[in-house]
Amino acid sequence: MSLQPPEVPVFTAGSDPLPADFNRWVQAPFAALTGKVVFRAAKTNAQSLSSGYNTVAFNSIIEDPYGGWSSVANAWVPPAAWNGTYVVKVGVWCAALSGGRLLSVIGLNGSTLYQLNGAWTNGSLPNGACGEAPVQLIGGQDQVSGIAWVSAASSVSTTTGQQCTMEITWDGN
Amino acid sequence: MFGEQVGGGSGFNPGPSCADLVLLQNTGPAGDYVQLIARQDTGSAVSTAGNPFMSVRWVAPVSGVSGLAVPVNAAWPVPPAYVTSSFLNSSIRDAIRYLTYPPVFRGYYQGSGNTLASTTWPAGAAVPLDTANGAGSSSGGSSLDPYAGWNAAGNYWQAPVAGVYSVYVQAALAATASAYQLGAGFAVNGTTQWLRSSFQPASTSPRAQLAMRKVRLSAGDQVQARGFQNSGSALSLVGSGTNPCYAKMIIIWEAA
Repeated sequence: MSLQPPEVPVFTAGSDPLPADFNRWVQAPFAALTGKVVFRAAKTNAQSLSSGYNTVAFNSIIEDPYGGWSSVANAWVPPAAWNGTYVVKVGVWCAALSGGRLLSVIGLNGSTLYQLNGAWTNGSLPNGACGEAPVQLIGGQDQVSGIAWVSAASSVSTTTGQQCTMEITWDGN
Repeated sequence: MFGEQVGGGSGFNPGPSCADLVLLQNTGPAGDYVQLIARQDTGSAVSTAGNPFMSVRWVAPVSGVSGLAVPVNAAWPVPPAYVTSSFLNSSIRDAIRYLTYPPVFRGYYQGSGNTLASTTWPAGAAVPLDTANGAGSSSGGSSLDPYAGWNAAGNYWQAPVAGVYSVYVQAALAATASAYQLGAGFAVNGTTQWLRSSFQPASTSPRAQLAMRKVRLSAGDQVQARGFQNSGSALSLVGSGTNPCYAKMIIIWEAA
């Protein structure tokens, strides 16, 4: 997939446009607005969580047509030129943790950006927290990560239907 | 409109979330406005912690043309083919119509007679939505379903077209003297994805949890709100008729 950010066409008087021009003026912008940029990932394998902030090493990349995910940085980078506002959703799960707290957090370029949602944790069941926020990103540059903050050492849940997730969609310039 | 309502007293700061789909149609100085409000009932003032934030985004106009297919964005005709009105209507008019008025859904629970059974994790049960076919209102608490995806008998919303959707589910339960775990999620074609689950102390006010995730749906996929609680006995679901902190589900088409 090689969608480019939507370009606002300019129609020049006296020009003699070809079909390729209309594809650039009409087809490509509508295709970009329809398809957008989408990233979705889940955490299906084990990961220990230390007390404090933990970047989730998503291992199951559900869709990432622009190849923005880095398993080294554990972060997603928007495609070059696709600057703009992205809606980022982060869901985190930890194993049973008595009387503690779990937070879902968006990380940007190695720092925590938004603390989204907190859960008072249970000592006998997995615990989940999720939230979303709009984030301004520079294409090809900014790195977005999903972070779990826990009040004491724990581990992520790997059970299907109770896994850490991160989804990102482009929402406009 | 209330979002999550959670218990305190853990020694850690609670961090509830709120999300809703609201019809704003009165503009100007005396028009509609949106505020972020926090409520707490400890009996004394409590400081905010972290960085409370609010974001608002436009999703769709008040009305539009529904029932359209996702734009295919066909290539421009190359001679000897020529541009027809049909081509322009499907490629430009309907593309604009669809992208400005995509499938959205807001259904909620208004009643007061339903309960959520106490189950063993991760079973849970469907959260009924008894108000799901309205036209929307800026006063809040209304339903919206221009693509008519709601199935009242099955208590699910059926995706009219394929694509990536944002799904939000809020499970809200009446107060109980028992501590318990409250979870919220949704099922796609019967398979449940939990997004939210946390410990709730005994309470004298309702409790609510908000789940959210972006999922890729095929046309015809069925999305159902789900809730979980293990208090040991069935708990009443909170409806909008009795409390502003009520159960609801919101779905928004985001991308092809």
